[in-house]
Amino acid sequence: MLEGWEKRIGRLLLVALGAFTVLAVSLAWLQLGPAAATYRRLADRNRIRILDIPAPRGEIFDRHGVPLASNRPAFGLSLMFLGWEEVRQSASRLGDLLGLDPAEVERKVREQGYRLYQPVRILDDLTPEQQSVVEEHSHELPGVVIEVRPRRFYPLGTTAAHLLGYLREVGPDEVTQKGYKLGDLVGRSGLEAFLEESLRGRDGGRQVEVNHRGFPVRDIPPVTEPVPGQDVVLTIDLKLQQAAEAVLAEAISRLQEKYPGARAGAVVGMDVHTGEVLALVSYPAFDPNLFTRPLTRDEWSLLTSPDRPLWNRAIGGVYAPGSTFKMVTAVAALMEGKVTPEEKVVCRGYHPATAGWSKPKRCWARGGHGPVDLRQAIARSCDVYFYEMARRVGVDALAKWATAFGLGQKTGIDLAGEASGVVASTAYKEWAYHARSSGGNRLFPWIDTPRWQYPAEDMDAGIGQGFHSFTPLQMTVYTTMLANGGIRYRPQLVREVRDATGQKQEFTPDRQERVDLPAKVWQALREGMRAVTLPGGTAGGVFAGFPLAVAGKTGTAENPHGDDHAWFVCYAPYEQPRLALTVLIEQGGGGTAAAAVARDILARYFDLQGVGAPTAPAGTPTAPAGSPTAPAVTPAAPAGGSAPAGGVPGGGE
Amino acid sequence: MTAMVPRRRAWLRGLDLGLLVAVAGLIAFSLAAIASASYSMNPGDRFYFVRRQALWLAVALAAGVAARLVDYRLLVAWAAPLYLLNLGLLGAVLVVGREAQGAQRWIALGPFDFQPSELAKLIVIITLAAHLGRREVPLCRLRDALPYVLHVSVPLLFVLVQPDLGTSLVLGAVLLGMLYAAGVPGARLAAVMGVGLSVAALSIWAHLNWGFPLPLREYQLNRLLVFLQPGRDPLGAGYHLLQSKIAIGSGDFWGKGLFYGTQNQLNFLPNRHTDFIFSVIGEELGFAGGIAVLGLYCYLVYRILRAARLAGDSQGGFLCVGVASMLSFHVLVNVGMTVGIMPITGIPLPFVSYGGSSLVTSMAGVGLVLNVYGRRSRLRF
Repeated sequence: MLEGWEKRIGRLLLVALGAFTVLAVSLAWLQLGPAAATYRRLADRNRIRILDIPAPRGEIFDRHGVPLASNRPAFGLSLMFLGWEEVRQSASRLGDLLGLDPAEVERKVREQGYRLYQPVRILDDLTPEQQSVVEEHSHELPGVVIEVRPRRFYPLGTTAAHLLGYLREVGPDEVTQKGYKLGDLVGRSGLEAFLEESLRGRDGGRQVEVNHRGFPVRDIPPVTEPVPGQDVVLTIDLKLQQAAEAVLAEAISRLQEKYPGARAGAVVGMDVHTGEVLALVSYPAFDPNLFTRPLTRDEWSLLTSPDRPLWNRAIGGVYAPGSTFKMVTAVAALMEGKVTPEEKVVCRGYHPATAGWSKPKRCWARGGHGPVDLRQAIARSCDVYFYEMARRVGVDALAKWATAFGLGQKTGIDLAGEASGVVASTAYKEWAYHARSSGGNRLFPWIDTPRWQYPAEDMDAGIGQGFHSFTPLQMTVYTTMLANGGIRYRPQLVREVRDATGQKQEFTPDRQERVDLPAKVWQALREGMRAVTLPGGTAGGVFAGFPLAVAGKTGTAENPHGDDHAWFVCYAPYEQPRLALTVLIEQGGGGTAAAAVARDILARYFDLQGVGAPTAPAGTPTAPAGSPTAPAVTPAAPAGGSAPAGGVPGGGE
Repeated sequence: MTAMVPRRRAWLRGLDLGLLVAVAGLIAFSLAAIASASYSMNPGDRFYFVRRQALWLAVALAAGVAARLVDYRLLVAWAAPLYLLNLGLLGAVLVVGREAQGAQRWIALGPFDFQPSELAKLIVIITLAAHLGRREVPLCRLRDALPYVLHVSVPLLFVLVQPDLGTSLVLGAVLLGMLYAAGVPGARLAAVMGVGLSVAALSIWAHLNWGFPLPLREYQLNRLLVFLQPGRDPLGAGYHLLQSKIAIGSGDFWGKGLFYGTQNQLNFLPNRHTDFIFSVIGEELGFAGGIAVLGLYCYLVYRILRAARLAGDSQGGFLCVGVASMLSFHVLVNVGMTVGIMPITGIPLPFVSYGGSSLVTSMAGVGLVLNVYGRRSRLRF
């Protein structure tokens, strides 16, 4: 053994005994000392409970300060734990009085575990009748108390529902890990989820002594004050949002007569100089107020119907862009030096190089457009011109420029659930066909194109068909770039976050990249898009007599599952662009239907009196409640599905 | 020469009956207190936790017997692979561990959850004993202690990042106890402890003022701050402390009687069958019960250190010192927390708190001590 071992072991023992002596003295001090009487008294009357002082959730406003999500007071029923006998008695009486399941009440008490010094939340949002029943019978309900709590409330119902999202009751994991309490509501989608940490605030609390019935009789200081959640001001302009929602809903219900598949759509409006999202609409929508209480079976089946009203199509839906893609093809051809704005291509209704094919590549205009230059090709959406451009530059050059315009990638908007989409390229197609050759094309089972038709696919890519698929939001970013000369902004929804002390966090435009093209290229694209809404352009009829100069592009995207999807992208005013707008109608037939929707939204947004009111065919269903009735005077041409240039199979219009 | 000692007596000589009596006494207190503490938790099956603990007791006894039977000199000879195994397990828990209550400490092993940080305590004791036991002369200078400090620091850091503050403190206490036994002067160790505490205080201060990163969850930090500033958070972390003091303080000399503690039965005590079991004993069995439990611990530690004194070689001696340090530190911190002289760290009371891992570790530790004690005089035969 080491020298001095026994001595040191002896000293270690002394140290341990010393420590235990300290413990014994502390124990004696607590139990036999002067404070023992106080502790006995406290234990005798130990009915200390901790009550929450709930923090109101931050409110959400539109850019002009109109509340979109706020709070209202609601009465909730809670149970103070006074012992299991009392719990059982109250549970069974609550069963008789309010029709609750006593076993369920007991389960909630048990779930709270040792945190029984806090009241257990049994029911939220009592009706006045339930409240008076409980109050009348309070002597039979030991421990039952009614608490007032702020409750989430969306004053405008379905307006901006996908954007705002909804709240659901917190899951058990978050209770322990993120400091929530059972029964708390947390954001589960949209901005409510994305901004949860800013919006939620921190509950305060107070210690109270309760009497034998569980009623608080005395406060025991100190009180912890709640910290309210931060308020959020959005970039959304309620006027544009509501106009877009109303016009889109109305147009879809009208279109359904001709195209029964037209049941859904999306609109995105964005400031072309900042990337601020001014409107983000997905149709059909839902009422987020439904989620702050348990859903009924009917509500649930409605929300989970095949139309998927909970799904935000504007950021999560991917669709072939159709002819709205043609500006990318034009940029690719110009920048690769394969064409000049002045060169004319003769359109005879089909592309001559494919004349011998079993399926020649046809223009939507069967008779052909004759000789067209770039501007006319955009204005009249000549497929043959763009087949030719795509053939000249190849699919990978198209992919390069599409990517530069932000297509086929997430935009980085402040929402979860964004889709990235696909830009067709050789690499992507090889991947897709490889999947096919090894046991079938899992990705696109309806495509039965052998490899030798690659050139046909390049041509399809040039008119926005084939593998391309983008979200309405991506198309809007692309449109803002066409309007502002190539600057790509990250779409933003939040303008300002401010807390109760008035501290503000303001958001600035988030400039990401710039596509630098010669001025004359931008000019050619602008002129081409302007001509779309002038007489002779594909949306010329829709915009006839429209007092605002609009630059746009129609798109009719082939849809293997039904009627064509209708697209319209545009910006306005033409000379000093401010607003970029994208309209998508699933199975809406043709681009002119979407153009008519854009026209009516612009009319309302820019307060164009007496213009753009929908010329509804006889027998049109009335507009949804809440949408202002537009003046009936209209010089505009017939809109929507009745336009002459509807979708033609075999080519985008 | 001496006549052959009958085999049976040799076996008895190898068992330290005093030690076993102390452990048995603690377990009797444990089962009674757990029965009372969990009585109102599960009205459907009031003795669920007692039965589970009895089951664990069987497992723990098996572990203890195993630790008694394998020659400790063999364990000490295998120190290097044991050390690597320990690091491997602690590393694995960080990668594939199951997260519960904000910390990653468990590895699922079939139906059982295995907690490598419990095993780590024993392995650190064994390997450090092997390491220190190779010395021929006592350690006198702090500088000479550096290799041993490094020896413990590596597993300690692994445990700290789980984060498991309690177990890392236990490892620190084991290191200090064994270094003292190896000869480092107590004054030097006290100075090191002082520096350590100051660094901890300073880093907490830096965390509060400049957001200096700490390996602590927010609730752990809150508990420490509540200890330093009792009025700080009466609704959250301070609540546990207050209710525990009310429970013990209202116990009086003889207590309110088993199953009659109001603080316990009316759910005012949090974690009362695990970390706060001593509050239940203090409330229901009073000062008499509390002192009896502390007395049993005193006797237990005395018997372990006696085994250390009598050990046949220094490695055996260090083993016993390590086990004694581990158990004493557990008792000091746990009981200290319930009476309000230590911060709340979530360290269980050995042999008494509900929970299998802690019981198995403690019992295996006692098995190691008996192992050393039983083989103390083989050289004399």
